[in-house]
Amino acid sequence: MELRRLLPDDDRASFTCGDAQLDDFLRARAGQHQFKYRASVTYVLVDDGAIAAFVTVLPGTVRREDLGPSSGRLPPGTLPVLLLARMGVSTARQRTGLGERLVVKVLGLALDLARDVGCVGVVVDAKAAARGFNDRFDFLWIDHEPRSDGVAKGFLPTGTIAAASTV
Amino acid sequence: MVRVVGAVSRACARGSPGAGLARRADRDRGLRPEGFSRVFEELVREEEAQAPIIRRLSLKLVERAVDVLGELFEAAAAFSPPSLPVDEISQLLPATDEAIAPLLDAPSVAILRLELCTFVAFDLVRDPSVEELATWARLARGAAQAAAPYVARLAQVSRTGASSDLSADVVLTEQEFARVAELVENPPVPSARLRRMLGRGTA
Repeated sequence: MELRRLLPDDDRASFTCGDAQLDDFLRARAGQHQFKYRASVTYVLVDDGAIAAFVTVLPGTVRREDLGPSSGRLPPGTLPVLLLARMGVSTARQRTGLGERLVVKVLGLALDLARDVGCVGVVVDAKAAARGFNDRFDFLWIDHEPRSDGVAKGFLPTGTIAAASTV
Repeated sequence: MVRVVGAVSRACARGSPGAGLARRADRDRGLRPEGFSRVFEELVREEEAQAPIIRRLSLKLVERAVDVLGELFEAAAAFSPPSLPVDEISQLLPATDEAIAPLLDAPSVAILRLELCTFVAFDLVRDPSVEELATWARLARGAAQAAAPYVARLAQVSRTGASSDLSADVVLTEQEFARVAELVENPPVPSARLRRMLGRGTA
């Protein structure tokens, strides 16, 4: 199975992961974001010409909602991160380790980003059903209060990724 | 344009269902939110230049009030026409996240914000009396209270995975930001599982 960047000719219309929003994103938006705007990159696992799983990443920033003077030892301004924005595994391939391969790829990208331009960690928005999956990668949940939509914001510091990668 | 948009806003606020706004949002989707903001700011500047000083102060107060009241009033204007009884308002509100999501993408939110700002500003500029505005605000208050549980959900939906757009800007509260900063400064020791995954070179 090949892990590579999405190509313009990849068959995105046939992909289905059971989440209509994710399916629509891959079909209608992922290519536009990557090929037209160059705002994000989608990596795909391709098996026999078909997309079996995908993950979309983009560089982003984390900042305080109140941009006044920082208190205590907080760093000023914003912090650069890598956003794990979307991920889906086709219904036929779920629970076969494809999601893990994609996340490992993303963590490697974060290390590259940190080395080349700066990146303090990976951020993910996880629905309740996906929290257990993200727990396997040591994501830490940073929401101060539970959100009404059940989505939790996970953060994995680059320092932790680097420590895991050098052992 | 102030008069046109303001008149439309007034009609919407007084009884047209929120779906009308959503349809218009669809029609105007090609325009960027930043474009709307700029247009509104330019309109306010034009009005400021021509208005007596007391009206200029009013405009500033309105801008500030709109900022403070924010999303509650937006949602009230969009989904809860204040001239309807609360139970009818509730019937108009979408019941599921999936139903809400298409109505609240970023351009729609921007349009609704513009609608409300323009509506309020237009009324004050056109008529020095604030009675009409106060009446509208009183009506909207009840609707906003009824809509409050929905507003919380709408606010979350519009900022999270429901939108097809990707946002590179992660905004955190001070406590959340402090937590991230602490983790950056003192990254936790990786678990054995993570070490195994990253050590075996599956990437």
